[in-house]
Amino acid sequence: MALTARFADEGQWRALLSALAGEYALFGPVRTTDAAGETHVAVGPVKPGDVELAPARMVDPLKAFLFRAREDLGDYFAGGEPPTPQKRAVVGATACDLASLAVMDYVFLEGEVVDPQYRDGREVTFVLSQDCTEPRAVCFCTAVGGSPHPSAGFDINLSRIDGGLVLEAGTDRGEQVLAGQSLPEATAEQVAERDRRRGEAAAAVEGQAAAFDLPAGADQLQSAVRAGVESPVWKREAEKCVECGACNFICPTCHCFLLSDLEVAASEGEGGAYRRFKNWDACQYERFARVAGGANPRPKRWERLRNRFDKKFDFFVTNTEQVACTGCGRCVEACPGKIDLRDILKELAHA
Amino acid sequence: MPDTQTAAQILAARPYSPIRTVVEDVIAESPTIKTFVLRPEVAVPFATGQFIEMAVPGRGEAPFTPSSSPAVADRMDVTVMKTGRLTGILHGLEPGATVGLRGPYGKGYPLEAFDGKDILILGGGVGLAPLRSLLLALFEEPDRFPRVVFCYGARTPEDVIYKDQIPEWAKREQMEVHLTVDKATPDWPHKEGVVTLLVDDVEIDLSRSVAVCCGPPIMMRFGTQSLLTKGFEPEQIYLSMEKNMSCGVGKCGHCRLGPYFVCKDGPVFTFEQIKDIEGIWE
Repeated sequence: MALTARFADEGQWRALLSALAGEYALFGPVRTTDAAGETHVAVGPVKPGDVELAPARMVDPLKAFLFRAREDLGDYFAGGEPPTPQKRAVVGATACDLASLAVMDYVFLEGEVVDPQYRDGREVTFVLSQDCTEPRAVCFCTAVGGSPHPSAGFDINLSRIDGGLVLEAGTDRGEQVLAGQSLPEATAEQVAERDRRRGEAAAAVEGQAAAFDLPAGADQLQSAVRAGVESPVWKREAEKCVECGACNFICPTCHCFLLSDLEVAASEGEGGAYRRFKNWDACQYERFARVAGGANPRPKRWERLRNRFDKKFDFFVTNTEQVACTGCGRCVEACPGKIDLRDILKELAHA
Repeated sequence: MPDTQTAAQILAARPYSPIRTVVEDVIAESPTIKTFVLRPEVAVPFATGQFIEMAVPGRGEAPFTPSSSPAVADRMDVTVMKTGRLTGILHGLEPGATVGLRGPYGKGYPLEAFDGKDILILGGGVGLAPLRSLLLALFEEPDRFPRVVFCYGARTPEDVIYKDQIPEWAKREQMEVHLTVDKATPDWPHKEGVVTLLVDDVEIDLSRSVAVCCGPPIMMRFGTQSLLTKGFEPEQIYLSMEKNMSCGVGKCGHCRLGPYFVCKDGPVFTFEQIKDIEGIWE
């Protein structure tokens, strides 16, 4: 669709958020105070006046809205209606989050069976994304084919410039929201400022990614990981792994889950006392691949660390021609053992 | 739920929620193996070699390959060895119990590739469960599958499953039966030794044959080796791979084997497909 860039000042921006909040449950970056009394910005339910845009991606991955940490699948037995998803608008997703949706779409929408929770969640989630203008120190999206500003996958994208925001719609429903706000078209100067900031952000990511000298392209990354089956990197790095699963849970493309039953009422009779849930699982956990009787194809932590790379840089390239890594660097930040995916890829590529 | 919906339609709407199913009968096959005769409230038709997820509400769910004939759609047999927590719970079930059933999933045995060929079936222990389903499917069409060479081994005569059925199968014109146990008793009339040794004695025209192997991982490993030694090509050997399939539909990630999800790309693979993947026997 033809993109008409519009401009919104602070007041118009809040009005747009209020309009969205009238139709969707609004989620976005909001300042919260933690138990230690420190304030920080995290994604949560938010009022239009409290949205606090951050200059880079959020800690929380967008997948948390589409493939939730614990999803209620409804009544235990088949038949009947599944729970209806809540219409929600998510503010502040970045290009790396949107890139992850290609991986998630492959997993949950392709194949003979479609995941209904993901499909419905996709439909009812309005994505208001933003340019990343100050990449975090761990960001390397440009090294895996990404960019700090979105080009697709959003309903509306916003770009911060002096005095306000440049807004563009990516879908019809996004265009309708913008049209409803009677916003002025962005001036050539405003668009130029946006593009200048985009260029600066891209250069910043490229600069910090260059230090790792990662091979360019999915095929090259796949070759490096395949060639590294026997690399000493796995055992050495796994020494630092405490098997917390943080890298899995924080990753925007990690999709593994486990079905479980939870008791919801003791008196509803056979099966009716339980509901079925879909829960995030982590391939770094010892029992992830264990089969009945206790046999385990990956009993060692280093085997499970290697598995994570096999999946992201071999399995997905074979099946989708793209890596399942958006270069967001979340796993690097989250790991208490300071295992750095970039270092591992660098070592494999230059072995 | 409306009677007009098939199991496939019901599961398309809610793929992770099982169909309510009654355990009609429980048959003790050996000291550690039982067969559960299941009747789901909506028929769950399957192709031989496909698997299902069997659930005990609130206790868990695990993948099993039906051991009954795919020609029977309204009920299915599932043969289970007691080997862990959930299988222990299953072994405690009595006729009349309510369980859940989802499926069928994956690709079964490719009967179209077996057409007119000699079929060598190599089974070990409870691995005979999916192979019984295959045998019963082959029995439906003796003209299409004129020669079936069946090699089966168990640890002891007591551990042999479907004890009353094997002699009946042996009477069929298309069937040739070779049995062994690792540790024989005086009354055991067949061979003693590991099942892979049976392959050595089989006379088979390799140019027009396929082999199907199912059993514990160690038996699959040495069984495949014995078939290769016999002269079978990797693409002639069909293996049923065991992984911990949870969702059954290629989403949950548990059963990944190299570039495949065992649940949707398997569980039956040719050795050719998987021979270069690390750790396939573990």
